[in-house]
Amino acid sequence: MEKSIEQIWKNGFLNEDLLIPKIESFYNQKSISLVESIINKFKKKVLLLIPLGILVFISNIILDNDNAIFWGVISSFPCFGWFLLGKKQLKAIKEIDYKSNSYDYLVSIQEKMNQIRSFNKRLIITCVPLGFLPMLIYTYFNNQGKTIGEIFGVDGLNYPTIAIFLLIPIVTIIAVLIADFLFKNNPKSKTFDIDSLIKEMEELSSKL
Amino acid sequence: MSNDFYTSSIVPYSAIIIKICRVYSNSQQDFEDYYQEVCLQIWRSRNKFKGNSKKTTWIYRLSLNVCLTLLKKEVKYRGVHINSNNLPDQLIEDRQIFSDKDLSKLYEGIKQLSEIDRAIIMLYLEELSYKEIAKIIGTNTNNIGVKIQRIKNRLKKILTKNKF
Repeated sequence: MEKSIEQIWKNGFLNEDLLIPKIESFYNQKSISLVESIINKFKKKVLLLIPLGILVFISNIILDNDNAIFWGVISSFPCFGWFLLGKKQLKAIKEIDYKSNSYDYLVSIQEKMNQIRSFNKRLIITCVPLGFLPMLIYTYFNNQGKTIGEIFGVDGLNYPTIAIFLLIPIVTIIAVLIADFLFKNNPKSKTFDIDSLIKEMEELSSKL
Repeated sequence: MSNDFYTSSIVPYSAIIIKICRVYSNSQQDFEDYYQEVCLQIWRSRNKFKGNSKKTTWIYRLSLNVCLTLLKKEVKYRGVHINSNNLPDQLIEDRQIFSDKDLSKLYEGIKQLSEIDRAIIMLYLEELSYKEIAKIIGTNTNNIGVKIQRIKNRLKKILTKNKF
């Protein structure tokens, strides 16, 4: 008599010795794909600096400032500089070899990403005020004898010209805030995924 | 995942997980990936189980969700829906997974059903009540009986066509 599907299922599994697969290679694929995704995202950000630099240069021309080309080159320089730096950082990430296991590989990537993030953060905090300084010096020497209010066209700011340098700590604070915002470990970011994955692997390590 | 968690929350349900993963995977490698992802998802969601339903129901639902999600990703990635007609020979051989030939052929037949129909027939064969099946699938209990009958008929046709 032909067996029903219910019988096949029931009897089949009664005699079947189900082998439970080991949890081991799962993370290899996952970590490689995550790192690839991080590299691609990083690459896009680095490449974006080129059109950004061009845009900054063109903006100077359009605004028709005095010495527009000179100021265009100066102001777009950070974008191109950062592009070259980003390329170098990208190369450093790509050069990390897949170690004997995915955990070591992810930890190496995580360390490199943290280094890059920390370096870029310090760079912003240092370079923004430093980049601002020549403009302040230029403004200071060209506006001798004027008050801050007169320089910026704001009534009531009757401070001497030298007070313009008080803008440096203010700019530095703004730079810190911007850097914090740009490099904070966003839960939606891929680097956050690495942190979570490593944590997960550490918790799993007793079983792996 | 501690040994305790694995022993208490995965091992007792491993048969369920294996049965479901087998239905949605097309090779041994796929099966292992699916199995591991389900185990990890159970572990990740361990605090979300509030005991409102039976643990088995929760495991079924979670396993199905994981498998269907992985399947969608795979189909999207490969750009084609994989069924028995376009599987390479190697993958078809991988299907001969059970020592029981009838069971192996039944699995082949189930794999030719749509993704949701596979889930429904599996839950039915696992002797879950219509209410539980409806709860897991997210549909009305009234429709389940009719749906199961239709799926069984379709499955019988497939098995007959495959000279079962």
